Amino acid sequence: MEEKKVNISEEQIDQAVETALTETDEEGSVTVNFGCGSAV
Amino acid sequence: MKRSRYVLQAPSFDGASTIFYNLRNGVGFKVKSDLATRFDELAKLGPMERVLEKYKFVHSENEAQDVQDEYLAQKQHGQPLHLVIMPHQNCNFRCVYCYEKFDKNKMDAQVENAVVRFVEQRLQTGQYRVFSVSWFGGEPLLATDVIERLSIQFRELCAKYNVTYTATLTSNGYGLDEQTIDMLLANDVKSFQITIDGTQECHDHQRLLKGGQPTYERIVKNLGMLSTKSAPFITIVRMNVGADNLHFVEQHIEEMKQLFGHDSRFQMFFKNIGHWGGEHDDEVDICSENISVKLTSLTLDHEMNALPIAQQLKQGSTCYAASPHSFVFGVDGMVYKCTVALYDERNHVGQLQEDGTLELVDERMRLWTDAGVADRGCKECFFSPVCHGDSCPLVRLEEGRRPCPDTKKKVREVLTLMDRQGHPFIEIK
Repeated sequence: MEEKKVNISEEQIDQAVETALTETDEEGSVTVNFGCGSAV
Repeated sequence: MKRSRYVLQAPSFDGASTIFYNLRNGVGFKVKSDLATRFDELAKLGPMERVLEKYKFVHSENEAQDVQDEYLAQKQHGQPLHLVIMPHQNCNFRCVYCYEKFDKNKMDAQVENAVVRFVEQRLQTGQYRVFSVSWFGGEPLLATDVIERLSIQFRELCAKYNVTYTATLTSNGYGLDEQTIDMLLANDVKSFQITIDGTQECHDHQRLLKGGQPTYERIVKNLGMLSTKSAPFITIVRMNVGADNLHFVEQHIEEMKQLFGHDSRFQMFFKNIGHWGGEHDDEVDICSENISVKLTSLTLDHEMNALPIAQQLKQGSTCYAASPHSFVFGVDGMVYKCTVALYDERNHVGQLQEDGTLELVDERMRLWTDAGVADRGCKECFFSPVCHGDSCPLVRLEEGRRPCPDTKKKVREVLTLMDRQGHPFIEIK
């Protein structure tokens, strides 16, 4: 079956993954939601 | 090609794409629905078969064990040194739902010095890259002098041992005047969690001074001052929601938007009020349904900033109490693991000694740090990369049940909401 074409190459995906994970790590790096059963 | 149990699927916010998100590593693809709406269709697109293999979207026999091994390795050697420090254990407020007894006061100089010695001993081992402090109480701003002295010494130690220092503050906001704000920002406090329980009337009903006086106006004024500062920080504007104030949430969001909508550093966050063990528990009406996801969505409807919901799906979103590198220090040097169960003996895990060493009761420590990974059901769960069974060791201890986070039950809704908040999914079109 013929492969469908997409807008992005494997290398571009690798780059995007790296950027996305860095961004989300920074977002979450300083937040501690405290008190009163912080998780549930 | 079989999909990993950690890969979830949800519609994008506009409904035109499908999100495929891997809880194991936070990699997510947003794929136009005319290209693929199923995992097997996604695998046939361009380079995606190789990409999905590379980023562990594909099932493997050992994935549950691998996820647990990665967590255990990180728990042992990769976590920051984290201290919750209570510089004052009394409070100028008497909130209706509070669980604290306020039977202790300010940290004394001897304990302060012991905390500094403890930190130096830990940092000089070379095992930490990050040292994180959470100022908590009681009300921590009743002891700003303690915070300032300790912060200065922590920053010096971190510079000496080449460790990154960061701090957060949980406060009622009443004492957050300009001088205090400047001191905190100068001492690397990067995140403030301040509670406003709804409109002025609702807030002043729930969060009163010890003498019964209202507090809303002064807190809002202080936050206005904080907003004038150019430093990089986040202010989590927390609302504790119960049956009494639920109907005023929309008005509250609008008011917060008028005051802080221009400042993306101010982000709203909603938490269900619980029966947390305070003396007025009988009078507190709680909501049966968890409202966090719904009210975050409502906040976005009103074009106000909300705390990124993606944080609730972050890998290793475990409670600090489950980390062997996290300790809560009371004003008298008592060492706890949890900031809620302050009067539960199982949480009195040790005592800070004058020379900075910790005398720990290992058996009690293990109650908090080891129970999650021992749970085979949690190990096999699709949500394990997020919480590893460690989302709330207190629930496990008190109720003998798995503390599944509410996010687990609403995970598809959360993914769609992440898209609405502009989460950087990789677009395939």
